[in-house]
Amino acid sequence: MAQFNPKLPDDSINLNQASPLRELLILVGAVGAGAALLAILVGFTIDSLIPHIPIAVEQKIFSPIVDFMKRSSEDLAQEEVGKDVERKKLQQKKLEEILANLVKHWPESNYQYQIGIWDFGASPDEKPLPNAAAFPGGYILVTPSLLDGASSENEIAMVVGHELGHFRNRDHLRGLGKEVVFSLLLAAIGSSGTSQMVSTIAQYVGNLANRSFSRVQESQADAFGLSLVAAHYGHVGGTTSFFERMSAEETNSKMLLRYFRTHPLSQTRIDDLRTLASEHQWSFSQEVVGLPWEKKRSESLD
Amino acid sequence: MEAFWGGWLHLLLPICLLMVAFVVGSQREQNHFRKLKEREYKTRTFPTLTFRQAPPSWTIESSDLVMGSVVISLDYFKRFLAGLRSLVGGRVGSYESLLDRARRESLLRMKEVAIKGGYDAVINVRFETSRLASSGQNGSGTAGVELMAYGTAIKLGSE
Repeated sequence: MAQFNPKLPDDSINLNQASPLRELLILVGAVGAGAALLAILVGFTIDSLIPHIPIAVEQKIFSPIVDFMKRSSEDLAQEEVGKDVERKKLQQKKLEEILANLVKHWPESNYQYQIGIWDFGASPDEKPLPNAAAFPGGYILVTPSLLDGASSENEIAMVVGHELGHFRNRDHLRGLGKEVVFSLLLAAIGSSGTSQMVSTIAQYVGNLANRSFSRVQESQADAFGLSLVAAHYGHVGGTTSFFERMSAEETNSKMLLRYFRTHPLSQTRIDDLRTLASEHQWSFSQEVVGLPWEKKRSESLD
Repeated sequence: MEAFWGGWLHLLLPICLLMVAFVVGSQREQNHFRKLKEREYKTRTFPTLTFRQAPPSWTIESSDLVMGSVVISLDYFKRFLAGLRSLVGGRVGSYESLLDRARRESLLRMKEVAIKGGYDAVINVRFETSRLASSGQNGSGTAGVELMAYGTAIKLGSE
């Protein structure tokens, strides 16, 4: 018995000899590539489907939502009784006037537009952002801080024109459609029992892919907005001031951010606008139109 | 800017956790494998058999149930890797090494109990596995796996 000196069996067959790090890289790459492909596919499908939805149908579908948003924004406005009521009325009137003026230069437009003032997407602990958005059904919302910080009518007209550009390309529907479909897909992946992180990766890659499309859409909307402003005012003075305001806030976030952005950097947008204006020989140097509420304020200060 | 960092943290934090889990996890795994080999070598002459009954030539003085059990859990890295793997299918290498360690450890523990108790061999060795449900995810998640080796330890009589 004592002479018996066995060796241990080699059971390395039970172990995966490949490096787990390599496996990780391959899998992350595969999942990322899959998600990007999915996002591009979803984007392509939505983009080719959207033009086939008649505008009348879109307006019918989204009119309850638009009505709800309008009512909510009006209710909110009523709560803020006090000094600013007069000012807000002036702003609303001006917005409607600008919108009507710009739409005149775009006769092919089939939308029944509505415009309102609402600090949408604002959270109480953050500084209100100057912003505007196009919602399905022809609804445009402008935040109070955009109006309060505006230096001229032309600046606001450029923003409204930009949103009209979104309606022209129906970007609002595209964005919504992609978001809904992609999040449904993500939910399907998430419910298949994989870890949260896998969904997170897919979401990141998908968003990145979508955002590069989104930046192209923003540039197109800018160009269309500028052409409307030029058509109505005869010049494009004051159109860049909104982006100049935004650019000042972006200075500390730098280029690294570019790939994560839905919009191009404001400086890029200003440069593009300038190039476009010089191509069409639209002048920047002419007198801008003042804002009625700013006049009022300076009068009351005197 | 806050939104920017918020977005990055969302991604950076898991990556840091993954890296830490990988470094710590693989270090511990290597240590464990080294110790397993040493212990296996030490106990290699102790007979552990899967036969249900002792060979008829053996005279058995006494017998007892011996068992060794291990509860293991995944680290963050392995869980993540397996999560990715479950999307595309294939060999889940990160679990293989984990379960291999658990199997060997439980068998070694059983053998060591038997050696300590002065037994001469263990027959009818079996493995049991059971999943420990995690209280998160409504019990559908896995908190860990228990691996148990058990068998009948026997003392041989002197003829």
